Amino acid sequence: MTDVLGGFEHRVLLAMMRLGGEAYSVPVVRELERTSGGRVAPAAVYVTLRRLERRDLLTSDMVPPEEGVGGRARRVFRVEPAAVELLRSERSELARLWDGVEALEL
Amino acid sequence: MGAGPSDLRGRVARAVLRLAFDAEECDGIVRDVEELVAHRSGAVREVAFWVTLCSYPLAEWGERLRSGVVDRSERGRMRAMPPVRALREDLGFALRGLLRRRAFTATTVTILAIGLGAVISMGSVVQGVLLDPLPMEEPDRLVSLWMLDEDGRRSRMTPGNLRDVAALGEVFQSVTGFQQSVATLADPGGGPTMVLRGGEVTPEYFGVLGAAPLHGRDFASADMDPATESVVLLAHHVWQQVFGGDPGIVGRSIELGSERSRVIGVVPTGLHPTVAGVSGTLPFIDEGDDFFRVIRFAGDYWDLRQPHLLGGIARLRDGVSPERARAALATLSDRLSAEFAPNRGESIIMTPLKEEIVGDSRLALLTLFLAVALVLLIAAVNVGSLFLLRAEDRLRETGLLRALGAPSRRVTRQRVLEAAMVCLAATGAGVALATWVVGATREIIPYSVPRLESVGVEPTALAVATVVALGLSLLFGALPDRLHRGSGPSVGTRRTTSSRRRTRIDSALIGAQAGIAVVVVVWALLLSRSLLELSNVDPGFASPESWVFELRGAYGSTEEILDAVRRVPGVETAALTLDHPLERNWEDGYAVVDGPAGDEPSRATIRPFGEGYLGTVGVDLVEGRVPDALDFAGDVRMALVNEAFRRRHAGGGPLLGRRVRVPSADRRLGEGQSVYEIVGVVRDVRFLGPQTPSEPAIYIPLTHFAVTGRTLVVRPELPDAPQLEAIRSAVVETAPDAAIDDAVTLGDLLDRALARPRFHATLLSLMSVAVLILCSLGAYGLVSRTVVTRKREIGIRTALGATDSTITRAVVGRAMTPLVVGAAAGAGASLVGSRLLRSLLYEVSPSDPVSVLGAPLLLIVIGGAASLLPARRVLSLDPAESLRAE
Repeated sequence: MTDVLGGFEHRVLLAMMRLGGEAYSVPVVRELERTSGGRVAPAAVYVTLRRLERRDLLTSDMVPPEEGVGGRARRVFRVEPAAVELLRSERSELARLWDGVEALEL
Repeated sequence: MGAGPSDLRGRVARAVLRLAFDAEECDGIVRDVEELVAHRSGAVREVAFWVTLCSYPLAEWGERLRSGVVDRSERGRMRAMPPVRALREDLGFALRGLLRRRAFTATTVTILAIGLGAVISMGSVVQGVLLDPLPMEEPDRLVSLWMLDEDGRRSRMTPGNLRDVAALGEVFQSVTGFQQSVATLADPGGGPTMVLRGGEVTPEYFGVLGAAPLHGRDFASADMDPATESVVLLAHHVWQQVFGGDPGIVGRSIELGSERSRVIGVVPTGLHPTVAGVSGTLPFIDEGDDFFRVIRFAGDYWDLRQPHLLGGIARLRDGVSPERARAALATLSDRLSAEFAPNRGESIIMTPLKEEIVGDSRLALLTLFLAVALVLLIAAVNVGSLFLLRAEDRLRETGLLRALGAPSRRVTRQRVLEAAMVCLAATGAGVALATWVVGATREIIPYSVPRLESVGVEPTALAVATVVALGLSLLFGALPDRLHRGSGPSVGTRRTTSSRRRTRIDSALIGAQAGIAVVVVVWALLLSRSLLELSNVDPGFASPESWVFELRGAYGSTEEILDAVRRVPGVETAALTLDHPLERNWEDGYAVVDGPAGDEPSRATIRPFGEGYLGTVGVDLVEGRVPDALDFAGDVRMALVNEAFRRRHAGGGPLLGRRVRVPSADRRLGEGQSVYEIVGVVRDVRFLGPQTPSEPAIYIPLTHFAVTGRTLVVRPELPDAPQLEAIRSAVVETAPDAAIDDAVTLGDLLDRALARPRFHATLLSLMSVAVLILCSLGAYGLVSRTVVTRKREIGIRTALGATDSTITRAVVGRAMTPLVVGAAAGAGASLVGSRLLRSLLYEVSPSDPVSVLGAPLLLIVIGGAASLLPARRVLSLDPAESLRAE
């Protein structure tokens, strides 16, 4: 299993982190829309969350509904330490890459 | 939103999601989507909900496609994936593949649906008619009883013989006799008099069949005594429809026919007393189950060794083998032959009741089923060839999948699933088609196939078709893949399959189709030619426009009715008779009284007829004279015979003036009175239908036989103006209790007699049209592909000066060679296969050259024409353009 994050995966993981490392898919969609200022496909987010889970970067649980809010359970995702580790190494790799690029005053 | 609709919405939403997700996952997604669209309202929200919801499975499929094809890191996952999950992924993949190529999917599903639908419908008919047990208790122990004469002709039992068989208690548990009975019944609701068809049976009848009355009591031996009150059992449908389910029906007294009878019970519908046919009988024998009465005769009736009146059914004692029963019947026959003159040369035989009821439809149905299986085979070959072509188209995709590490088993499985979807969709469409066809079949063939009315689409036929479909899926899915397996990833990414191998496969498929098609077409031609021969047979009567009316309830007033009908304007002639020309109810023994030695007692059809009968139906006199009106009242009894009778007695000098004796008429006329002088010879009439040559017949005037005619024949002045209503009212005005049961022309009756062969010929012709179309499609496709793939070569050839005809010949030859070879092989195979049809053919040999040579020629001409169409496209090509094509 390669430890490389795709672009969208990266952003989804970061959004998860911003939400405190634990969230169901709707807040992630909202967070991504807020930060990007554009539309984000909820299905794509969901599928990506599930994919990250298969790669053991997230775990998920079905959480029963709270009082008064609909009648269905929702799937809540949690960030795993491995994901935090991966984000960190991605960031330092990117930082190394950026190093010197900034001098070009983009 | 109420709980109901919201619940439905949730179920539909989950069903959509289930296409790609686990059940437990669906609820969470629905919840998410609801929240996502919660800020909208009304219809917009609903639309947004569904659009968003549907995007989930699409995204998931996209995800799987990517992870299955592109992401090599997923390879391990694909292998390790739980089987159910992987299967669902593959299903999604297959579905997308099929949706992408809609034309391919529609074509393959349609072709296969036709083939499978045909198999399911014919399979259902075969199972319902031939294989299903009879609706009686332990039907395998039921046999029907017949008399067999030295010429191998069967006839019904005589009362005396039946009684003697019933005495064989060590082999038969019980024995019953029956005959048809028709009676009028005044409608209790005040409507017109109706005609009921039923049977007169011995009291054991229902016990033998293993049936019991639903209400009331069964017959008892005491009911046979003519001195007791007449009793009747009504069928359930009569009780319901005529008497409105009257709860007090048992014990009620009804006027049935000429007799007042007490209803003693109600029996189940469907216990027909008439098993179809003496051999050679017309297929439209009435099967009446409306009512049952007991056969009641005083005196020596049960000692009679003539005439052959009674149908016989026996139930074998438990554990007694048919062989033992046959041996017992043979011993009895020998004893009776020695003892009674009428039994000489006759033996009593038995046949399984089921065989009797199904009769000779067995062979016809098996032939049709075989033809249908061949149609399916062609459809399968055709669809297989399409799948092969498709696999070739997808070599690049397959190669890529493999190169990226998809296990080849998985790739094969995806292909098989794809094929399975096509085949299952085709099965579904086939079932719909079959349901319709089975229903339509019941409409088309009202007279020909027994038990057909109870046939529906049978689960077994359906199961067999599904198994066939799944087998085909394996074949279509796995085989093309296997054939192309040789082309490994490096080759597969480019399109360079060995074209020679491809051509060989193509040719083999076309050849196989042609061979099968020719067999079906030969059968269709044989049956059609046989039908043509049958239609051209001279039935022996010249007035097909004459009408036949069955009179019921006209006791004693038939002469008055005849006079009234003769006075109806538009009626040219009218006459009474016992049997109309296409009917044979009475066969009996006779002896030529003053014949030379060697004129042994023999059997002939006895045909009592009324004045004017011969002229009305158009049967010509060939010798002698027809007794005139006065002769009918005179002391001298006179008779006519037919040409077959004259041929039988040709050795004995001139026939006119000689006398015959018909002993069974003694019962009516007095001992020794039934001697008739032959005064004329009439033409042979094929009264058993066009297939069967006429038997010797003796025509005896009704008055000389002391019977009343019950059939009225009428020849109209103008063929199209039969004045049916006028005749009907003339009958009813003359005899208010009488009813006309059936009114048909002789031409219609002749038509009915041909219903079965016409049905076979029509069905096979339709199938042969289908196989010719399928086969032509195959040839068309092959040449089209040749033209497309060899554009460049054709361009070079044209540039080098090849003429149009050379190129056309080369291209068309690709299809023609396998067509011709296949057609020839098919013609050879049909020489063997057509023997099966022998008994269905009339005056046409199974190896009839017109059919055996005509079918392959037809196929080659049509196939050739189909392959010329795409070939002509080549000629319009500009050589330069052709060269640029690749």
